[in-house]
Amino acid sequence: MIFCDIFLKFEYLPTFVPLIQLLVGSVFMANFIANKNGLLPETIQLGQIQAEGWDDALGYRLAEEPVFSNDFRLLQTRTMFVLALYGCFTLFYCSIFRCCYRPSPFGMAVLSFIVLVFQLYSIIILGKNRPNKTYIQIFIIISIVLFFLFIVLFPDIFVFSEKCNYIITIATNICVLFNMIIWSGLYIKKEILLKRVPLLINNLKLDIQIASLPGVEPRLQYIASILESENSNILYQKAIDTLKRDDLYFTKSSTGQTFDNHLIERIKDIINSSDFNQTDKAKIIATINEHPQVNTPQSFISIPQERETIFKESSKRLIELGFIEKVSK
Amino acid sequence: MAENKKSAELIKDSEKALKLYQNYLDGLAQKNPVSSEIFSNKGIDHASILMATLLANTDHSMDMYCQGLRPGILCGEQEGDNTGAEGAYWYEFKKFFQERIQSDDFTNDSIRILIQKKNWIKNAPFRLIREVLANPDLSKKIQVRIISDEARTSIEKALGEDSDVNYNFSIYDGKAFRLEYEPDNYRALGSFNSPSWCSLLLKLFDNAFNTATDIKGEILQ
Repeated sequence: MIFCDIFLKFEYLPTFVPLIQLLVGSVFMANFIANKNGLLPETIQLGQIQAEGWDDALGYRLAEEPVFSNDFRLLQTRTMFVLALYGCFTLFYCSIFRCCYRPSPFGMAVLSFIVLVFQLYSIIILGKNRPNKTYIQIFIIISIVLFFLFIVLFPDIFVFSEKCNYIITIATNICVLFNMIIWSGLYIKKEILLKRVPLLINNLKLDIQIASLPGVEPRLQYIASILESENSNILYQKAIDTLKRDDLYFTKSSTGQTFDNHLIERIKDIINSSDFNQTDKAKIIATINEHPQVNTPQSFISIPQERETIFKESSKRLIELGFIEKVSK
Repeated sequence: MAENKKSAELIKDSEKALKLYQNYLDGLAQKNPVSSEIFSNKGIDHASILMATLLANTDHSMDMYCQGLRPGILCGEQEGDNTGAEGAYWYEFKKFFQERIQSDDFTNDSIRILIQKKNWIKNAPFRLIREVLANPDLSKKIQVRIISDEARTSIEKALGEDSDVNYNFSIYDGKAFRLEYEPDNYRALGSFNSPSWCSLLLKLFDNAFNTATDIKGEILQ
């Protein structure tokens, strides 16, 4: 009660709340349209580019539009649904109260009806599919037009009795609160996804690339090229981590072939000049020095199995996030 | 009626997926520099798309080690029944041996085909090759040989510990390849730009090709 009283003291609040809602809704939808058209910041697009790909052997496809995972899309659709529902509710109750307390002109009733039909149609569209941008654009335009109609041209429509004001305020603020919760959840989730996904995908890609290369020397060559390019901190970090591992890549049986010493020295130099502490540096270099020296086509046979193991492990999480989908053949 | 609709939707989905796969491969092949990604390949339709893309992007040489140009993935077991995605490879194969081979970029011996069996020598794919071999202007560009048992065993041993596995591979322009390690399911690895893999495969190919028997005469009979 106290909560409502506070709100009722601000007599224009019920007028501004729908305004805020419409503006926020419009911003959200504009953002959505921008996303749909690829107008995203570079950091987000990174995830998109690096996620494209297939693994036929396992029947996986990296999603083509991985900026939003499936669960994110679902949440987004739900939010759109709530917004559409709330838009419907806001405009509809305005019309109803207008009718109840101040008999409206015929045009007002027609407008309310159009709004109602449109909102319901939006709900159906949003509920069924990912929103079509044309509908969203129309929705934004109509929302703005209606706002001017209600607030600028027909300002008295928001003047209600105290009892109605009370109900409207509670209902409005519940919706605001609900939307805020959804919004916060959505953005937190988005942030988490955007940070995690490129990392996961880069790890996965690098694992596959390294495992696919025949023999240790080509693998080291590849890692050295990543270390030298330093184009991506994630890849750099991953390459260093890979070098630290001796379980997967460096335990093949030796055929007596020697490594390219220049390559080994190059990697050691890179590691020595990296930001790693002395213990880590020593550990990595010891790993390189100790592992058997293999460069033979015999490792061909192990590639599909290695690849399969690696991909299965990494892909579990990516499937959960919706960045990989099973390809049924 | 509903079932027809459902199957129509499935076909549509499958066509869409194949189109996506084609786009994915085109993207790798057309990257600048060409992508060095090693990718996997499985299923007759995906294999057909990949081999067609590899062939389409070949500029000057092709080394192919295969069972014997079996009609299956090319023109269908019942010759002419290749439709849809499966037809992609056959379309590109015909184009290659009927038109593109005439280019001066393909010099003497730039196309080498090493087969395991002569079972399909009278089928449509070999008929195309026969036309090339019968043409005095083009015949020098292509060599077709049958692998010896020893060389075949040596390839199988080199590629895997299990010598029963019937490996096939092709190398295009010395940098792109497709290595099939499970021919029954068309399971393979490939890349559009992997000179390190190609040099290893070429070593195996050269060793086997040098000891193989020329079958030009038999093809032209």
